[in-house]
Amino acid sequence: MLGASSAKTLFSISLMLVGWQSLSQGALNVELKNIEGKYVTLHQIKGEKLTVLDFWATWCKPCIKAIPELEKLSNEFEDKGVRFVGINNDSPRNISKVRPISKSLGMTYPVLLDTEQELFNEMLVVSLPTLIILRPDGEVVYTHEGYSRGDEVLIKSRIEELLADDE
Amino acid sequence: MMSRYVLVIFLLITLSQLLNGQGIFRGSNLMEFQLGNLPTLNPEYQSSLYDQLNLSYRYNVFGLDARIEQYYPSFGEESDYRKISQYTFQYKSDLLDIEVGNLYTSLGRGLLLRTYEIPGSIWETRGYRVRYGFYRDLLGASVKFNYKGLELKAIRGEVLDVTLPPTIEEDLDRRPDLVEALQTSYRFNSQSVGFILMRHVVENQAGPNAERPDKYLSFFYDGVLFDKLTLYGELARQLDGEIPLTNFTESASYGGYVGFNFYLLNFGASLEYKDYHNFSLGTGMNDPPTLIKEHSYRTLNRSTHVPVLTDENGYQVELYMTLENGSMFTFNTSRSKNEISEERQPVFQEYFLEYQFYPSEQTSAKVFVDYAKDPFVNEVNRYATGGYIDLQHKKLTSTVEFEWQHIERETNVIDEFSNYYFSYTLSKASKYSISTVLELTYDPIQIFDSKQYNLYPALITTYQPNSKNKLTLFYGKRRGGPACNSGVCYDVLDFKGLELRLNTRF
Repeated sequence: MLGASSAKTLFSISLMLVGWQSLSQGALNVELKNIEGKYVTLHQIKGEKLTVLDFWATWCKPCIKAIPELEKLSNEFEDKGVRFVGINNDSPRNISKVRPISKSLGMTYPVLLDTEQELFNEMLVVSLPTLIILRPDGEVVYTHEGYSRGDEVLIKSRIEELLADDE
Repeated sequence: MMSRYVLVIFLLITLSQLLNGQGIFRGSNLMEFQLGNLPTLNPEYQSSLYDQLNLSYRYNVFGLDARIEQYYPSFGEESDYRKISQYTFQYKSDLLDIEVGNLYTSLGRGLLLRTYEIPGSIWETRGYRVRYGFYRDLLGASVKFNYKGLELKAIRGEVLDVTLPPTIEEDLDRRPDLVEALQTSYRFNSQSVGFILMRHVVENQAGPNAERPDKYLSFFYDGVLFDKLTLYGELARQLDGEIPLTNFTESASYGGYVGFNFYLLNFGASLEYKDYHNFSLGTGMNDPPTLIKEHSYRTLNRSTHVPVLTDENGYQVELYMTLENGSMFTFNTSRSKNEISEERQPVFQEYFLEYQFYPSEQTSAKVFVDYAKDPFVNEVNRYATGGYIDLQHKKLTSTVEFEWQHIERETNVIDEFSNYYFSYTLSKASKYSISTVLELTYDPIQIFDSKQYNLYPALITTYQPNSKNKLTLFYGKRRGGPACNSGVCYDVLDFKGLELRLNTRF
C-alpha cells in the first residue's frame, strides 16, 4: 500500500520533527485497561524509583509459576519506591480468565490488559514471561526472560543493586 | 525493494548516531540455523538460516519501527529472500494516536478483525518450505481519538494472509482482504459501550471487487457490573439488504459472544458463550474467542479443537480456587456444537482438572486429568493425565514432566492408541538448562514403514551469558502437528536434525 517514495517521505518528515522534541517517554504513555475496568498509563502508576513490568499470560505455565514469587517481591519492595505491574498479554481467547485467575492467585499489584500487544511491541518483548525494570524516565535497566525456580533471587538482587545505585 | 531496504537501514543508523542520548533506539534479533529436514524426506540433512531484525526508535511522541527478515536455505534458490517486511511510523499523544505502516489491531474482541503476532515463532508450511515470521498484520493506517471517555478508532488497510510466504509475493496477492472500519466507544466509570462498522473488500487478481463489498455492524458492552462481576458482550452481523437485522436464521451471517467473570476471596470463575454462523471472514482475518482451553501440556495442546466458524456454538466454564498454602485447583469444561448438515452435527466436549501444590519447601508440582471427545476429527474418546515436579537443589533445579494420552479414533474401524511425553530438565536459574525430551506415539497416522510406534527423542540446551543474549540448541526429532500459542492454533512441521537459535536484544 505504501510505496518506497511514501516511506521515504515519512522518514524525512520524522527526521525533521524529532529535532524539535525532547526525551522519549515511550512505554510510559501507552494507555491500557486494568482488570478493574479503568484505563491507566504506566506514567500514572509507575514506581517512585523503579517500575517492574511482568509480561504474562494465563496459558503460560512458567508465568503462573512466577506470580506468587513476584507477589512476595512486590510486598517486600512496595515501601521502597518499587512498583510491580503485571502486563497481561492474553488474546481475546483467554482474556475473560485474567481477572478471576489474578484474584484467585491473590495478586495485589496492578494488572493491565495488553490485548493488542501495544506495550508488548513497544518493549520489544519476544517471549513470555518477560520481566523488565524501568527507571522513572522510562529507561530500561534490566530485562529477564523466562522463569525457573530461583530466578526470584536473581531479580531481587538486581532490584537491590538498582536501588543502591540510586542512593 | 532493495532501495527501500538500504534507505531504512541508513536512516535508522544515522538517527541513532545523530540523536544519541536524545531519544531511545532499541532492537532485537532472532537468528535460527537449521541442519536437518522433515523426518520422512530426503536428503536427511539440508541447512537454512533465518534472521529477523527488529529496530525501534522513540523520540517523544514519535516512533519509527522496522523489521527486516532474511532467509537463506541450502536448497531451492527461489526460496531465499531478504526484505523489509514491516515498517511503522507512529505519533502518540493524549488525544490522538496515529499509526501508518504495518499494524497490529483488533475490533472489539476480534469477532470482525484481529491482527496479531506469535512472538518468537517462525512459520513454515509443507507446501512451500519457506521460513518466515508468524504474524498477521494490517498494512495501512489507524487513527485513534480519545476525549473524555469518547474513543474513535478508524482503520484502513490490507490484512496479510499468513499462509502465503514472502517469496510468492510477485505471483500472488498476500493481502487480499481490504478492511475499512470505524469503532466508536464511550467509557463511563468502569464500563464502556460501543459499536463497529466495517467494510470488507476481497480483492482478486484482476482488481478489487469494489462493487459489492461486505458490510458488518457490531455492538459491544464491556464493564464491571458489580465490584466482583464483569461482563463483556458483543453481537456482530453482516449487513445484507435482503436479510433483516433481526433475522438470525440459516442464511444470516453473525457472531455472538458473551463472557462473565467473577471472583470471591480465593475463588474465581469465568463463564463464556459463543454462537458463530457463516462467520469465516476473508482469509481468516477475524479471530473470535474460541472458548476452548489453551493447554500448556504438550499432548493436550496438540489435541485442541479448532472452531469451525461456518457454524459453531457452545460454552466454556473455568474455575480457580487457591488455598491458603498456595496450592491451586483449576477446572475447565467446554462444549462446542457444529451444525454441518442435518445428519452431521458433531459435539466437542472437554473436562479438565489440574492441581498445583507444594509437597515441600523445595518442591512444587502439578497434576492433571483430562477427558474429551471431538467427533469432528473422529476422536470419540480421549483420556489424558500427567504432571510435573520441580525439585530445587542447592544451586540447580530439576524438573520432571510426564504425560500420557489415550485416544479412540473412529474411522472405518476404531483405532485405539496412546501418546507418551517425558522430559527431564536440569537448570541453573537465568544461566543454563539441559533437557532431554522423549515422545512416543502409537498413532497409526504418525507411523511410517513397518514400525509399531514412532519415537521422538531430543536434547535441548539453553545458555544465557547475560540478560541480553540467549542461545538455544535443539538436537533430535521433534513431533509436529497442531499447536496453540498466544491464542492462535496452527500446524507445526516435524523436524529431525540440529537447530540453533540466538535471541539478542540491544
